[in-house]
Amino acid sequence: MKRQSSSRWSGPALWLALGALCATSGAAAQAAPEAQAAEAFGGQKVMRDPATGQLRHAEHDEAQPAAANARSAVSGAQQRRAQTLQRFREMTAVTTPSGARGQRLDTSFLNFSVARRNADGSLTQDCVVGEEAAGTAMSSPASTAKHKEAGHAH
Amino acid sequence: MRTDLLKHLGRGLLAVAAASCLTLAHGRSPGPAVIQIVNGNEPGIGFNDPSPALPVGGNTAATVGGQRLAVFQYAATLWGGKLKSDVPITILSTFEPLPCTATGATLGAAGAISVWSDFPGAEKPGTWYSSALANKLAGEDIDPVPSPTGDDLDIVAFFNSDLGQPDCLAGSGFYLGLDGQAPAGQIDLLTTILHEFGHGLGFQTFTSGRTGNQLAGQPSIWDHYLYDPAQNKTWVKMTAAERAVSGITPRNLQWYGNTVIGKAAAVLDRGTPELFLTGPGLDRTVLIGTALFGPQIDSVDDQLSAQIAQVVDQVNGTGLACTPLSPANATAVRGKIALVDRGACGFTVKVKNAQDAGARAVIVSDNVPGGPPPDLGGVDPTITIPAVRISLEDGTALKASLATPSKFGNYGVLSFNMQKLAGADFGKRVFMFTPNPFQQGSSVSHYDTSAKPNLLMEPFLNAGQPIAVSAPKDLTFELLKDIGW
Repeated sequence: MKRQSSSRWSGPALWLALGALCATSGAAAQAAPEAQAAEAFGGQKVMRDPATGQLRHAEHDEAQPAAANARSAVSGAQQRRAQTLQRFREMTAVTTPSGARGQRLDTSFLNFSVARRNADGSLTQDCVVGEEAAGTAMSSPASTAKHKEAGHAH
Repeated sequence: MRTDLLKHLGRGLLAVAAASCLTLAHGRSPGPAVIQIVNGNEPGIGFNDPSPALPVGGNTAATVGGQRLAVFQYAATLWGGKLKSDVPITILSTFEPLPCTATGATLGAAGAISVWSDFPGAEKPGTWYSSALANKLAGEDIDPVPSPTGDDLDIVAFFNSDLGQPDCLAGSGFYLGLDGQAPAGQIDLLTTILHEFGHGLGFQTFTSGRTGNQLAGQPSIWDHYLYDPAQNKTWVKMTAAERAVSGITPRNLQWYGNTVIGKAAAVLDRGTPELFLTGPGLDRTVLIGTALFGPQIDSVDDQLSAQIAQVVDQVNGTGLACTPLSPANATAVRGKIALVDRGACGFTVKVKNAQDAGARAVIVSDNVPGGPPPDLGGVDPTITIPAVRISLEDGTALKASLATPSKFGNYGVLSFNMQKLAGADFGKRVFMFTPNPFQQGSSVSHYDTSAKPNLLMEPFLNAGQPIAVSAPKDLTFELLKDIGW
């Protein structure tokens, strides 16, 4: 039943993003082992969050004192977001007392919108499902063979 | 229960969409859905970015964060105005840095947080429904384990706050207007959100299109409405192997829901360009991509029937037609439909050379396998003959037929079939996107790209897409109604 997320894109990229989100989670979020956290950040620059003690990606405005002070107050919204994304890390089966069956989904079921700039400067925007497909779509050359509004030039 | 939720959300609750949002309808028929946008951003960034912003496209919020929020609110309002549910739909939303390069970016992501089956009110047993729909059908939040803060989230949506900055699709940021009039080079956030919210609300099968395997051994509600006429089965009746084949048979898999069928004619243009091929071993209609240049095949008066002749200008027997045709090739195609091969030069160059040689139309045979054949791109206002693309497989079959001695030769008939809607079959069943090869993440859970006008839930978001989710401009809501909304 348990379904592991693909790691090709999620390791260096998506988990970086999700990890950065989760890392501000406060005490309520699950604490990941340090080694696992380091791997999840894919070698990117990390720092230890002063609020949670967990490793996380250094955010773009980390050096700005005002922003840092703002983040030091871990809000309820942050906790909710972090807990939600934490739940997204793996599939989980759930059964209710009424007999309903549930599956908490992982990121392989998320729908990603991805944009690429084509050689002629135009933009192509795709919707794909799952982080692996998103990583592929973002980095691959525009496959205009599948686009109806921007057909291949040759 | 939801009163507690609202109390706990505090400042995180940024938007509550739909009229009379705190007055929920009670009774047998659900009232208008309440869609709650929950702010997951910390102060100073994302929705809380205080950077000043000028009004744009009807969005009058004074800050970048405020304008982002206004777009989310507007999308929630549009969806909330269509859906009915007594259970609020809660969407955890953030703007965060997401993966980027100078030429590509993850714009954002959204989706249902969970799926449910066999709950009170489920219309199909042993079938997965996305969280928001399951709650609607049950008439209550069925998730037994909400987060400790009390927010029973249904959908998560996070978008890229770095878009447009250097090294993140530089210069191509989100357009934050509410009018769908994104200038060239910018990404329309509203359209993108409407599309991704659509997936989160249930426009998605959780069965793998690549393998055909069901999630935890159960079909999704979608699978009851995905009909494959070639196999004469819905997905729920197929084996995994059969579904995998269905997922890569272009323009075959159809939506078999009465609401979409009933509204298709009000949304989709009538008529589909077709190419019928005759000759030894042929005599069939083949899938085509149409040209974005030259005359369009868009009326019954455009029918063209002519003999087909192949251009050959390469030692391997192909005909690229990238230079003016030789006298022999010109003689062969004069007054006929010229068959040329894709590659080495632009489509307009090939067609123009065939036109200059006297051809009446051009068929471009693709040079990579798969289907359906995409459209032919390019611009050349001097082109006056129609052109279409066929798949490599059909092109190979056509060449083999041309090489077979025949008393009657090979003919092509280009016509406009008024019995079909653009993007649907004879029965007004709208095609789903099932290209070959399988496109991971895009296949099956989108409408096919043959739909005209463009639909919101095609896999490639199109510039100028109307800001609408239902008929007469779109068919997204209609599909959601079919599955229980």
